[in-house]
Amino acid sequence: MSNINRRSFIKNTTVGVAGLSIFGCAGKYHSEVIPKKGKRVIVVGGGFGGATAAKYIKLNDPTIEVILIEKNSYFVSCPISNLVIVGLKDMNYITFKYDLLEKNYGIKILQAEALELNPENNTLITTKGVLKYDKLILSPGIGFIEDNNIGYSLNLTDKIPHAWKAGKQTEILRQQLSELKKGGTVILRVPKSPYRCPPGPYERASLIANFIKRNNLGGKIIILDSNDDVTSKGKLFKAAWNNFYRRELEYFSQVEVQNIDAENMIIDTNKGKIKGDIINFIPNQKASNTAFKLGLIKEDKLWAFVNSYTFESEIFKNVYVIGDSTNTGSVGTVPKSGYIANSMGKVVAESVVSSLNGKMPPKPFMANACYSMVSDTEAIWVTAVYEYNENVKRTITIKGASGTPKTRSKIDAKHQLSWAENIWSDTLM
Amino acid sequence: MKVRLTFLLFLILTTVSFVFAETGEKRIVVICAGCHGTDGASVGDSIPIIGGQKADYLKKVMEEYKNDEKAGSVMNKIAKGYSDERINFVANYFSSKKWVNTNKIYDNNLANKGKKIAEVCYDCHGKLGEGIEAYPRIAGQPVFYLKQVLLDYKNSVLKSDEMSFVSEYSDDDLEALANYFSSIRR
Ligand SMILES: Cc1cc2nc3c(=O)[nH]c(=O)nc-3n(C[C@H](O)[C@H](O)[C@H](O)COP(=O)(O)OP(=O)(O)OC[C@H]3O[C@@H](n4cnc5c(N)ncnc54)[C@H](O)[C@@H]3O)c2cc1C
Repeated sequence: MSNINRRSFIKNTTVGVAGLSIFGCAGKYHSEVIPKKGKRVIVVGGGFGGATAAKYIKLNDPTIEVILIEKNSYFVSCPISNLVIVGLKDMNYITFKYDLLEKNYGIKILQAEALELNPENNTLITTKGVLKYDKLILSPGIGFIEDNNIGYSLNLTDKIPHAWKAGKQTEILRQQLSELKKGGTVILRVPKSPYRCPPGPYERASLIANFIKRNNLGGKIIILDSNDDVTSKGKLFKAAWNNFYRRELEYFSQVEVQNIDAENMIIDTNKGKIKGDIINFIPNQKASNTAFKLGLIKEDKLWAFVNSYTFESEIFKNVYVIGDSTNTGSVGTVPKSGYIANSMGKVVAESVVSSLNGKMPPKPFMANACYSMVSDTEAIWVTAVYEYNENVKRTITIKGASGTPKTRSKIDAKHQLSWAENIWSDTLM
Repeated sequence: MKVRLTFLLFLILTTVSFVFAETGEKRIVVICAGCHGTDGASVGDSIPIIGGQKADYLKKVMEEYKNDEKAGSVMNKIAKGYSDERINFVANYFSSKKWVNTNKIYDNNLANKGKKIAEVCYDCHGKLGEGIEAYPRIAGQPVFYLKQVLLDYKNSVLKSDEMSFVSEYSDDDLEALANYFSSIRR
């Protein structure tokens, strides 16, 4: 027996979000979609943070009604999407339905978009109608910053994809790469910190260099990093680049993009002009637009500030924010990663279940383990354990319990896939 | 009498750990699931199943990782976040969970071949690979994981007196052994 039965592949199951039917047709804007009876938690966003939170609330207290609101019909994983882009894995491998969360834990899945929040009377307005809650958890992911001054708008992403949210963008970049001509140039722009998945751009660059080398394309990838240096696992990435990709990869730090000419595929920077056959421009980031629309971002801020112990928003009571949308400093020292979003999902689950049952939640405890491929066969990692610290009132790295390996290895490339299969199962199944 | 006493102790211990769980120590074990699967039921093929594993073994391994006496991937760093008391809790928690066999495939022919040489493992791991005290359950772990561990012992990446016998076996034999124990799924 393979793992197909345990995992929920789209190709083996009927299309559509299971359970949607129980809500009937799209409700009117003001009618309550599902009338609230007992204790209820609504989770917005079925990504690493939200889906985990929904599942672990049910595991902690099955009597609480949990509704998970997600606008997409499928979960497409960012982790492993870099392998899809270079053809080492396919889209099916990283795509999942939400049906098992419903079947295994009784979570109600509502395919809808959250539009507006009415915090005074605990009401959320969605494209399918209105919902009342006792607690609302948001894990809506990231948003991208458009910049007219340099000619960057999200309208360009069919031509110059970011592929920083997995799905259609992943497919566009994969398609472009599969058509890369001999001697072609790929430009990859690394956004300014903080952004989702610090090592992600360098993993992608390594894999693209590996792709160029494996296929004897004779071209190269040029990394334009807007940061002072490689932001994560720097030594390990640079060692791999030096050993494997002297011809295929060029790295520039402190690059400021001054203009993007998508028509002619030319990027103007403080270090000169570059023409690319493919431009993978990963824009600067902020909290998801959803977090802005729902009023969870303070004026002039880009991320949602939360209470580090409970994840309750600093702005509204009974509303919690987790995952990439949170302001890192308000949480502690954790990075924006899928593993951390999964950890936060568990912490916030304890937090809201305790609160609904009149108890004090336990101290937050989290972990991160993040693997990056540096070639088609070898990987590196970074890991850490974090705990809430009473003195600084933040969740910070436990001394000694963090680090990177001495060198890359083949076994860690295997671990990356096992890691992914396990975190998908822990989040969605 | 001794049996009764042990049973009583068992009752007390399980009640204590239950109380722990209720007061939130679960927070230190749920985070393991990101790599090992919910309640330790790993679905990956290089990361072991720990739900339903022997408590003594889990405790020993966590300590070895923490003290860098055993080479691992991320575990050498992660274990340093756990005090002795926490390690005990983690070991008892996962040990109390249901064992869920891997669903990764094994090779029937290799499993049959492995069965013929498996006796050498029985003393420590039990006739069905079920594990005895600090010797881990190996039955139903993924083939890849078991094979990797055997090769690591052979190549001295991992060290143990009990496992030194592997140097007398070919890599093919070790692969057969891995397939055999992985095939025992009960
Ligand atoms: C290329 C790449 C590689 C990566 N590799 C790794 C890795 O190896 N390891 C790792 O730990 N992390 C990795 N990450 C990071 C990881 O993907 C993110 O940190 C993680 O997805 C964050 O989880 P989240 O819940 O905050 O957001 P997401 O997972 O993005 O989930 C947000 C969800 O909310 C939904 N949503 C948003 N607004 C609404 C609304 N108004 N109504 C309804 N639904 C809404 C979205 O559709 C989405 O499904 C990688 C990221 C990238 C881009």
